[in-house]
Amino acid sequence: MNKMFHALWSTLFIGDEKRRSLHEILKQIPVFQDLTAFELKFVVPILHQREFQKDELIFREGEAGNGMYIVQSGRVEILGRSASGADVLYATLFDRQFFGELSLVDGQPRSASAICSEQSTLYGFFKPDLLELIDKHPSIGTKVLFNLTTVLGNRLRDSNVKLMEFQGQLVTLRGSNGAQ
Amino acid sequence: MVLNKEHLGIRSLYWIVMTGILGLVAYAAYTLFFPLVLGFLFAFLTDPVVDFLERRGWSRHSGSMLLFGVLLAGLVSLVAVLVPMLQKQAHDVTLHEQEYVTIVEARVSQIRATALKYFSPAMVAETEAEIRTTAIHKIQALQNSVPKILAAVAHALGIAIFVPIIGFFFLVEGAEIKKWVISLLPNRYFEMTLMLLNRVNSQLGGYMRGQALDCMINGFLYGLGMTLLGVKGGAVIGVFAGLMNAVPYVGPLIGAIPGMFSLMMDPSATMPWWSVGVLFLTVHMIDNVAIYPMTVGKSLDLPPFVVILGILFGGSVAGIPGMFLTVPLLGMAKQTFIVFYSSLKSYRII
Repeated sequence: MNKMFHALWSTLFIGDEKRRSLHEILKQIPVFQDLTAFELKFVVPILHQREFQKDELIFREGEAGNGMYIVQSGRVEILGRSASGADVLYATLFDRQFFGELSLVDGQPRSASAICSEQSTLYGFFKPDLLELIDKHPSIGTKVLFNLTTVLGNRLRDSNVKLMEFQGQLVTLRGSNGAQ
Repeated sequence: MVLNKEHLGIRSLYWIVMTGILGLVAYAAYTLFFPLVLGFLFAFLTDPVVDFLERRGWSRHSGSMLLFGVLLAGLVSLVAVLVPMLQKQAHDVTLHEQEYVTIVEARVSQIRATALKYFSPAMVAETEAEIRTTAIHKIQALQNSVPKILAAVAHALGIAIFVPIIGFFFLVEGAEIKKWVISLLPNRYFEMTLMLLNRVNSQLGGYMRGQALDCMINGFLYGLGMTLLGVKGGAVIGVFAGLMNAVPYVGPLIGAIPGMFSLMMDPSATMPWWSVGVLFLTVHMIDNVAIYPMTVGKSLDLPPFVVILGILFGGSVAGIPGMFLTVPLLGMAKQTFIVFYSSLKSYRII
């Protein structure tokens, strides 16, 4: 019932101001940053605002994944599982950061879990809405998709750099072990 | 959490207003149930047209307005054509009343003569008297129920006015309504529900639009065929037969009856009444082999015995509308269950 109250209250009394602040947030998210105010008008209605409590699970590793989340306020921890089964903290995300973007394109299960480590407000952006955006407004959809590809490309580049560093360290370690 | 007085006041006011709104909604839902369902179906079927216009730069609102404008213009034109046609036909019936009575009497004599070849005269006379009594009772019952029929027509007209208004509302605001409903769900189930609704919507939308297209193509073929066979009012009977095609197995059989009857009663007919049967059989075969697989496909295939049982059940509960709705509803239930089950599995809820 509280949710109903909140939904009705926000529908009735929070209009333009909320939309403006959401525009500002989206302008700082790489996936939407080069969209004009007019183009953002088509993106805002397809975002889903969600309120999460402290320690509430957003999604679990291995579950079906269909979209990304943007942190409006609060703190989110991205956790994985080590070979021994223990939780490993991959990242902590704060305001205006985002996660889960890989699910927008690959349709694979979530590669990590996400939990709110404090009360947080998130915006969800999901695959069917992205596909509809591409279908109905191809120029906006293409921009979003291009930005998404750039984000994923950058992540891949970073991973490659890290992999190279690890390989270098491994070779150095093997070399030093061989010398001993 | 501590609530201050102002907060408490707002909450109390909110619950009073909400209770009032819920009461009004419950009352409105009772009277508006059918218009709501039909309006939703209308919006569901015409949604791709508005989507198409949106893709071409129209806003959702103006696209819906255009669609309604075109439909209204079509309806007005249809009424403008149909009303004089019906007036002329009614006038013709009055003019040739005696002629029709003679035809019916001649046919009855023929049937009586045939019956006398196989049954005793007493038995034929008894059956004839029985049919006559039943017919008189039915006509009297029909005459007595004229006020009820008029009330039903007035109710149907009321619904016919509400359906487009509700349909327009769903077309323009459908996405917002869906978003609002989803916003009420707990976080744990919201993403899964969003995906579930999307999958059900795309699969059922495809099925229902395919079914509508199948009915239209069949209706056109039946209408064309009957016009070529010289059936009077073949186009209108074709529309009826096309609609009946939505009811599997028995639909085409029921659809064929008016055409056969029309040909049987027409003294100027050059084709025998059973030629309509051959036409229906041919169109039905073409439908099974070529049209249905292209328009509807096999996505909602149901076992034949389930379909037959469903039609019988739907017919007993809600008459002809029940027969129409049972199979799509069964298909929806099957599809929803499949999608729901796979979604629950993929989100590790079961």
